[in-house]
Amino acid sequence: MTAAEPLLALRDVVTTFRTDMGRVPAVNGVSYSVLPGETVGVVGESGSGKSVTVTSALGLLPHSGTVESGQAVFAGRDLFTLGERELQRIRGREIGLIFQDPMSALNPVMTIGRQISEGLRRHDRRLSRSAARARVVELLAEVGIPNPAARARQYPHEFSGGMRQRAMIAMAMANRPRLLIADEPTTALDVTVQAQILALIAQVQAETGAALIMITHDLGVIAEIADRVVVMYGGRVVETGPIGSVFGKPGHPYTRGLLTSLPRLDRPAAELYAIPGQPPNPMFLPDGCAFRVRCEQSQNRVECWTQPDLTALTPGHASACHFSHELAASEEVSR
Amino acid sequence: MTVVQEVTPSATQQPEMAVPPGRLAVRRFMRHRLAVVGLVVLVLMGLATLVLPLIVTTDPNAVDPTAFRRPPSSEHPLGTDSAGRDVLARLIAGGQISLLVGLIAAFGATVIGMTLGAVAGYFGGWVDATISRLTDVVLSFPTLIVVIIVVAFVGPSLTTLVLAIALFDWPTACRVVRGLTMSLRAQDSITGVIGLGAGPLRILRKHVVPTVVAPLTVVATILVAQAIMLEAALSFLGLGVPPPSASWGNMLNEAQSLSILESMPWLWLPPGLAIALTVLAVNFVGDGLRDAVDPRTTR
Amino acid sequence: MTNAVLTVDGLVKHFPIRSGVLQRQTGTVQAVNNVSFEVNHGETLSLVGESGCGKSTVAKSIMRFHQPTAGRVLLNGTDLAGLSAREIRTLRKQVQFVFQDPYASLPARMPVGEIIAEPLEIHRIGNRRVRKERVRELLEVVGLGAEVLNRYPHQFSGGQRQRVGIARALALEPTLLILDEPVSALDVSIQAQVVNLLDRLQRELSVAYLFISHDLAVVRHLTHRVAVMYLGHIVEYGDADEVFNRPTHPYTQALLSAVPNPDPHLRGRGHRIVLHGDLPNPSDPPSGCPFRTRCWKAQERCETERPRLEQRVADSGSSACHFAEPSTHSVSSRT
Ligand SMILES: Nc1ncnc2c1ncn2[C@@H]1O[C@H](COP(=O)(O)OP(=O)(O)OP(=O)(O)O)[C@@H](O)[C@H]1O
Ligand SMILES: Nc1ncnc2c1ncn2[C@@H]1O[C@H](COP(=O)(O)OP(=O)(O)O)[C@@H](O)[C@H]1O
Ligand code: SF4
Ligand code: SF4
Ligand SMILES: [Mg+2]
Ligand SMILES: [Mg+2]
Repeated sequence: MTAAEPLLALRDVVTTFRTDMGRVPAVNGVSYSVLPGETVGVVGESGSGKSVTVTSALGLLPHSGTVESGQAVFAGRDLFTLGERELQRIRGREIGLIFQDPMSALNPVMTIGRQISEGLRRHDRRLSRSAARARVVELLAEVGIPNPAARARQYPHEFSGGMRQRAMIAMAMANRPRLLIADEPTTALDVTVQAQILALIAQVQAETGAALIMITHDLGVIAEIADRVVVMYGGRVVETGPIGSVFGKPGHPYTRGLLTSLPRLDRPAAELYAIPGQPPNPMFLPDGCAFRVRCEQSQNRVECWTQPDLTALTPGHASACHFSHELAASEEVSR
Repeated sequence: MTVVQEVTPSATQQPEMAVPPGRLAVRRFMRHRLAVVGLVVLVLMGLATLVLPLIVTTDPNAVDPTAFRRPPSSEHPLGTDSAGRDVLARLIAGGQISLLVGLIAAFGATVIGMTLGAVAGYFGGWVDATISRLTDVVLSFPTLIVVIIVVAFVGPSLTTLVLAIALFDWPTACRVVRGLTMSLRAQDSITGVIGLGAGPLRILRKHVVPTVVAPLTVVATILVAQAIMLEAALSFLGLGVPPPSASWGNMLNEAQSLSILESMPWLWLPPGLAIALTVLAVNFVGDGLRDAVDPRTTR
Repeated sequence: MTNAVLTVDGLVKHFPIRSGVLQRQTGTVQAVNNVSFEVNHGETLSLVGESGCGKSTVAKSIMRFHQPTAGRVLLNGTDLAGLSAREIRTLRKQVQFVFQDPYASLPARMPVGEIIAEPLEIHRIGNRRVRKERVRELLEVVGLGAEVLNRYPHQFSGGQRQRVGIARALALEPTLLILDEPVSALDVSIQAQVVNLLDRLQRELSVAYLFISHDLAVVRHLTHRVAVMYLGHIVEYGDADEVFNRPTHPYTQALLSAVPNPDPHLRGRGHRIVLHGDLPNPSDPPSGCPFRTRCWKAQERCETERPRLEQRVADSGSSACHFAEPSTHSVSSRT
């Protein structure tokens, strides 16, 4: 793989929130990038900053949130320096968004067809009303909605959860964006419907060549679709690399712990390994390595009281642990 | 590496979560500047009615035969009224009565409303239907007129006044509590306790009432303001606190004539201002409480 | 009498749909249809299936949170129907319930010590001192120290709260615990902790579990027997090994094949059955076999004749399909 120009490059993004308890750091210097056409999986526990990182980049933070520093370079432009109008043009046309809860992203009092065609016409003023309508029916058919012409005239509440998610995908891909960002798109769905949606996203990607950022806490989903993976913990990236090497030879104790703690359908174990302790509260991250208080590798070594940087283990595979070489040298994850 | 052990989480790991919701609520309240001002005003007024009588030792009912309707002077800082009584002393004594009537009547109305509302919301069905109709009926009476009629029948006294206000001012509290209880009833925390085998009385006492009390304080402040106004109105009409006892409404009642209004402001301005200030302060406090109790309204 | 702690026999629960100002009944949600199963002493039976298939409704009918439309529920051989409210309350001591959402299911205004003591207080067990002692014991059992006695639920993380919920459920020494998605709301790294706890408690206290979950990997890890539900019916029922290794109902086969595998090396290896369409509306279920609208094996007969849950030819389990047969691509072949 030659070093292609990344489509989106996040550099040292820092985001905080104002709350009743004071200023909360949610993202503490996150960097990762997505190459054209590539699928990057972002995993981490609830509150690790997966969503805030991308909403920061897209200018979709709630009012209480502030991007303190960093860059989000998309196709040569830093999104943090753009105004709301320019961002609006990029969202929807060049970056398509798919959320966990399509109900909150869809307008409940507008038909599905109308919402998709407005999206189309907003970014292509020359498109006639009837041409847009025809395109909507085409799109709905593409995402596997049966009877698309009739369905286009229905409202979101008349769709099932899986169909709403399909409609969201149709909307996200309407303008053939170069990047799709999906935040837990299947978490609210059942496994059989999840399988349908994942297959659909893969198909859309194959057709349009779009890159994909897939945010999820489900390691299984990541293993099935991602080329590269970004593991987040406590508002930082703790490990990143090609899916095969990160899941096969994890270089961070957290990644390793997560992988070993999963119950497996194909290999039931007598007992599960469990990571001790709790996910951290971003307001009170431990000094040094945020994973320190739960880490069984550390055993209170002094090094862990300083913040480890992401360091390369092999080309493309980096981990933020002072002892990652020790880990990577040990045996493959026993699964 | 896959040595398996059951991990004991240490609960002490999250001291940060230890800020109790109560303290957060206080923080939200304190951020509400007008509410804090209102609270300070109310506390000062309450203190004043308690402490000032020790300083202003004039008897509020003592008649000074040498001074009728005198403007403020060094002897009578707020002047004297038509019967030659010290206005300041009466203002203070009246404050005690007005605030007391307001608080007790509102408290009574709140307790009645809470009980009926919780029962209606918890049991639903015909119990709810009956209580809801009763609420509608009471709500459809104009409170002031009904209370006037009741007082007219029973005769004015402090007790009648408090009871009459409490008995006709509870529907607001009842509706709020009924709604809260109904939604609470559908929640897992209550279903869970039913699953443990708890009966309705225990659930109402231990789980419903403690939960609705916080939002109910907001309603209670409105009721306090209403009760103070009602007391003033009734006393103004001569149906409230029977003379010669002082109350702010009584004082206004005695200042009814046009000539007094035009030329003797010291007779009506102090009680009028006191009522307006109190009601305003209570309402500000209510606003602050609303925000404090419901975190969603912050900012 | 058998060895069963719980016998559910022909359970039916229909909810009326009311609409309009007059709240007239305009339809019926057939949430649970003729469901029968047994849970034996000290063992785990899992109810699995997609959301809305009726799992929680079964659990709530057993708990008498609502009246079943038809069918019998026997606890240790005693039929609950016809008992007075007081008698049901006493019987409840034997069955306890743990909810999915540890945030919503504990009273927020009580310290943990009181929460766990509440069932003891309700049933007037012991005096204050004895109860306090028992609460300490229970906290110890679920892996929380006695020092948390005076803390409030909001001061705990999700996993710890779930432990509190479990401690409360164990206070009355029940013979059966009904666990409705007890780990679904928890973070990935915490799920394993709670699963291990449940495992240990069953071994130590020989309490039986009715375990409700949509997470098949977790179920595989914990359960002795499984009942697979679809649209209010049990479609397959049997020993875990049988059902997981040689499922014979097409729905079970699709469900198992849809579970993503967290091993990227296995990507694309197994045979994934992607179903078409959505779960039918339980107020308007298909005629004949409830699965026929999504089944790839459906024949004419499936439309007219409802398959009964029957013992399979060679196995100990049973499945409700006219054409039941072990799939040629079993789940284990995916490894
Ligand atoms: N509007 C907000 N106000 C205050 N804090 C917030 C807000 N939104 C997010 N946060 C905090 O920022 C941190 C990161 O949140 P984020 O939503 O990115 O997590 P996530 O990794 O996407 O988790 P999940 O898996 O739950 O979606 C969390 O600690 C969260 O509490
Ligand atoms: N109180 C209720 N009123 C009406 N319908 C209900 C009620 N409870 C559940 N249902 C319906 O019954 C079906 C089964 O629900 P449930 O048992 O909660 O499913 P599961 O637990 O398997 O996800 C669903 O269609 C649901 O909408
Ligand atoms: S730096 Fe130390 S504490 Fe952090 S993950 Fe590595 S070994 Fe563990
Ligand atoms: S009975 Fe027919 S429709 Fe139903 S599962 Fe079997 S083959 Fe499919
Ligand atoms: Mg998120
Ligand atoms: Mg459920």
